Amino acid sequence: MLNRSFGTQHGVKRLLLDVIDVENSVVGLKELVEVNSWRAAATQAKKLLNDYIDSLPIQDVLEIYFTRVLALFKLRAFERASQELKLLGNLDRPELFYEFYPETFKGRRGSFVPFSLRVLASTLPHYLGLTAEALERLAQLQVYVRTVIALVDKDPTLVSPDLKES
Amino acid sequence: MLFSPESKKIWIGREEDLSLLIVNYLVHLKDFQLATEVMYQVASRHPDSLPVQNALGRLLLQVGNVVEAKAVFLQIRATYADKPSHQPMVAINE
Repeated sequence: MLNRSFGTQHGVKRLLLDVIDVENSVVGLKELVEVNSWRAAATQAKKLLNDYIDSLPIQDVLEIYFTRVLALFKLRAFERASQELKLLGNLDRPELFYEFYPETFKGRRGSFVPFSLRVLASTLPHYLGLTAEALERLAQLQVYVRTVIALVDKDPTLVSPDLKES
Repeated sequence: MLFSPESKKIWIGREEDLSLLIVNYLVHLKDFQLATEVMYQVASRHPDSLPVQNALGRLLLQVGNVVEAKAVFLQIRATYADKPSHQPMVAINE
């Protein structure tokens, strides 16, 4: 379509990658996302989840899950994205928190679940025609965010939850 | 690993984004009264956020409150007059 609308020189500029062009790893998945190959990214994420779900650390599994849901969202496959999220179950269950593994993550508090995944899970019902439910979930998420801000105000030495860079 | 001022800023930004999402969905549900109320609360919580003030102005314009919308836009223009980096977002309202 780019070729037809803007001429061949614009069409060539867009780098298109498919699953077979990248290695079967998280790095390959990142490459697909960087060039906006969402369909390939969705396939790759599913493949990675099937192959390595037991061997990868839980944070990586959640990141891959997030990429899969985001890719389906970008492809406007909202029903499918919602089904994938349901497979993940409750995002607030104990084993998705750092506190559940005190030996591995000494003193670290917070959730493994990427914040973007929570936002995506909250907004998804809107795209399925359930705006009221999306509002409810967003309000809950907002309460959670405000709690974190209030906790930090009270105790600035608190260990940062779910923020990798800090 | 400690909670740096940057991470607090990130969390405040998240609160701001979630608030704007909520207002958007309220507008989608055509509950303009509640949307305006919530938007005013958000604007008072984030007085220094240009996107939030812009959103308030545009929502007021959408619900037909031209007088207050104009006041908000004039306020934005006055506040950010000497900040060139914010000009594109201010110019959107012109």
